[in-house]
Amino acid sequence: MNVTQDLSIVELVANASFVVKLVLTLLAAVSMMSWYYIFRKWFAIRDARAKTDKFERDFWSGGNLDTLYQSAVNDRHHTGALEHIFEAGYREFTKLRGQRTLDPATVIAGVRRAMRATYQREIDDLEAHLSFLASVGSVSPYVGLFGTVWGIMHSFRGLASMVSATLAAVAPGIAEALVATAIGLFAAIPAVVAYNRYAHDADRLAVRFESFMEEFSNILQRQLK
Amino acid sequence: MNERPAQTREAPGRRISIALAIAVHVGLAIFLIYGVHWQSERPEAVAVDLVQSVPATPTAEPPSPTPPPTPAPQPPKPVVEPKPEPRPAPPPKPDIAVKEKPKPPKEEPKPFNPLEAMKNEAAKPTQPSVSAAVDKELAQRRSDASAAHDTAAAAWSDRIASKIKHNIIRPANAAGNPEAIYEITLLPDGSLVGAPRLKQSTGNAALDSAIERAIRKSDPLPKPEDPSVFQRILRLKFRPLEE
Repeated sequence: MNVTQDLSIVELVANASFVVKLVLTLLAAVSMMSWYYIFRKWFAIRDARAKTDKFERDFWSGGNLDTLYQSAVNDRHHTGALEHIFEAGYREFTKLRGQRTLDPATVIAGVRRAMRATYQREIDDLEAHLSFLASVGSVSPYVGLFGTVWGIMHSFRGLASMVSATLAAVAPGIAEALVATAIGLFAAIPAVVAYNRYAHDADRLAVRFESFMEEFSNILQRQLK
Repeated sequence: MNERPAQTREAPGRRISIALAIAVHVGLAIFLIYGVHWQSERPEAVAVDLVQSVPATPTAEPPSPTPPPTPAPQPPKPVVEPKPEPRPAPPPKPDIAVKEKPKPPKEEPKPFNPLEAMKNEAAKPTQPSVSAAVDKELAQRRSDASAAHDTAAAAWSDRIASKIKHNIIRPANAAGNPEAIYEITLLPDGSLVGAPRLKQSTGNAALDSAIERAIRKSDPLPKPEDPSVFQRILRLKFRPLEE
């Protein structure tokens, strides 16, 4: 005579009301997207860091700037962000140096502008989709909470029509409603962690790029003298 | 000269990211479905068995091998009420539910041994002489009619269980998770008749008496909202040390 209910997760989801199912579907899709970007950004940032390390090693090992530039141009699709900045700056430098009428300060200013433009593009590329992760992290708990509140409302409405209010009558409804919060948190927590981590990584890379730009400008300025 | 390398570059690890994201979710789904025990197998702390459980009767009570006392068992088709009302000979029936006419007390010779009578009565609808087809139809009808009855009975037993559970004071020396079974007799207004009968001891006399005190303290027990689910004999299972 005990009221035993099968409380497997499949049962809970299958018995949920339409709105709760909708919320669960939405959250599953969002979670899927966010994990996709988490992995993609992870690969992208790891790749960017490895390429930056490699280029910095090559650059500071004292190679000829012309050969570095040639290798950067020839191998364009496999070069990293820092190499793109170097390439843009050096290209601008070679063009401006040919014009004898310009004074060194103007040349360097042009080189810096060219590098700055490439830098902005590269940083934008590194930080792409991070805002999506941030949105998922902040919004999906609320979406899950909405599903839960709706499910609990639903189950209490059902309770009102029952003759005797027992815990066993409400418990499955509440459990199925709480699944929505659980899925929302599952989507949100990794997204928040990944966002913080990747934003930090992107910032560190940006600092490295900027210091490289300054140092490279100095080197070019010395060459002009 | 103005080409933008960032556009022509291919984002690294696109396919593998999709694969990994799917893998994460499949892993989560497997974990949720198989990894989490959503309901423990633990029995309830206090379970109330309705001894004369009507919907469960055809399967729970095996048909008695003794031939039925009534010579001509009429086909049980007109039975809408789960309880077989049209009995030709009124055997000693302990049930004094509202639909029964109050009869002189000679109807109930032994108020303390109604279990046997009830078993007899419960076995009657499943007489072996009834053909299988009729039996099946009967079971079908009975399950339809008894769905609401079933939930009402469950609600009632829940209320009894929770009331008694609140009154149990656990003795200090109790340990383990023993089970006790008490049987009580009720009047339709919920008050106890006689003393609770210990059917199975926990092995701890202090615990047994604590349960008995809890039952007495809970007198009168809650009445069912639907009077038809009332049963005179209740079997209470206790696992008072369950947390």
